[in-house]
Amino acid sequence: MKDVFTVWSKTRQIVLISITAAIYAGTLIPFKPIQIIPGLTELRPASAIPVLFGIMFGPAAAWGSAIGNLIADFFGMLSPASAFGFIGNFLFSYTAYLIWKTFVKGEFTMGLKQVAIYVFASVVSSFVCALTVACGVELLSLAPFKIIFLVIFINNSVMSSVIGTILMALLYKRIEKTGLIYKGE
Amino acid sequence: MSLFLYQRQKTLMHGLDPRVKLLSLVLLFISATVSSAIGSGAVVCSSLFMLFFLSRSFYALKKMAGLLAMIAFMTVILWLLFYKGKTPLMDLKFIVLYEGAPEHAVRMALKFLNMLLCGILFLSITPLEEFSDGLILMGVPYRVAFAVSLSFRLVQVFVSTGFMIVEAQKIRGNDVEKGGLFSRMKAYAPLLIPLILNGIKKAETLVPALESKGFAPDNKIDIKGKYRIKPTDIKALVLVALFTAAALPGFFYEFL
Repeated sequence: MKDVFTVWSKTRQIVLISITAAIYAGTLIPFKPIQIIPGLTELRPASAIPVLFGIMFGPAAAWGSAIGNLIADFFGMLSPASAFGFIGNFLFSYTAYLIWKTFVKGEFTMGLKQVAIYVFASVVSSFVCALTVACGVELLSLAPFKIIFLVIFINNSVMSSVIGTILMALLYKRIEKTGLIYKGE
Repeated sequence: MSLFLYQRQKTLMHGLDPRVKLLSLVLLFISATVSSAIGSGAVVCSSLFMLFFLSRSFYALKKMAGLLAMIAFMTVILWLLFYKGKTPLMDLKFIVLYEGAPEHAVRMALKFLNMLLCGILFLSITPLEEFSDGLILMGVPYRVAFAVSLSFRLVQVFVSTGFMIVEAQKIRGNDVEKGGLFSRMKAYAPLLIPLILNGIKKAETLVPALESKGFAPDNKIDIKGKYRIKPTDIKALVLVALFTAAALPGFFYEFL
């Protein structure tokens, strides 16, 4: 847990926080959501970013996802629920990082086992994020818990599992060469 | 074209100190949250409209009108379907509409709208620079305010790059708006890859650029001289605080 705060003491990590936040918020607008039930259920491609970046950049990506979500709210959706969105998106990314760090010890291969771990990390972290945001929304009595929880959980887990796995397989080795992958303290 | 809602204007509200704007936002959020009854919600809503008028920010409301209407509509529908009362009003076999559901739905929609209106008002009168300055002045460490401010600046770059990538991919035949659900999801990967790699390239160049300009996470900047609390700021804050205080008894009456 110490690493959550130590990332703020390195310029490189601060830049990664900003880059994650900007990419996360920046993908929300041009990459239109896939509407399932218009106005209620949609799949946002940007939901793949927190898990993918969390696994690659560690706690910096968790802060970046939280800030990115807040920035996205600055396009007109700022409300007290944004605070829960901030915490939820932090946990979305950080939980994925913790699961990956716990289960993947060897070299990156993206074989069947690592794909399974990636999907597991996506689903568990989506559950944590959905639970946090839905509890917040319920606390503010803005919308029924069940609906918000299901919408966020399905959206986040489907998008991060499907798009995230493809992106991880294609990007990890390239980003590893730049030396930006977080290896822990 | 700016993606954000702020427009430079010469009004009393635009000229308020960033700390006052941030504190007022928190207080207005509290007012909106505690005003659950239709009457008090309507008072908060009309007061917010008055503030929009005073800050000449109706353009922001116009910009967001479609989204606000959809959110209000969906909130009403959701609460009509999921509100659990004591006496059923209508039994449609798979859905039961309870007594009190329509009133509850309208109350919640109004509350949600009020919260969003507070946010839109704040965003219409506060430039991003003032927001990060306000954070520093309120004790948020410089490194955090810097990261937030840098992210805001980079968002504009990534959004325009994103639009360019979407158009370029469309020309190459990769249209994400066509095909089944799974093929559409798969089609997003080639769109995200250039954007992510562009971001990584930026990260690599930004670190030395910042360090060469003397940036270090432990740096402290003094911006206190840039802002001064004026009597207008105090008056505005007191007014908002009184308004919030007036909203609180209704909340306690309802829940205690």
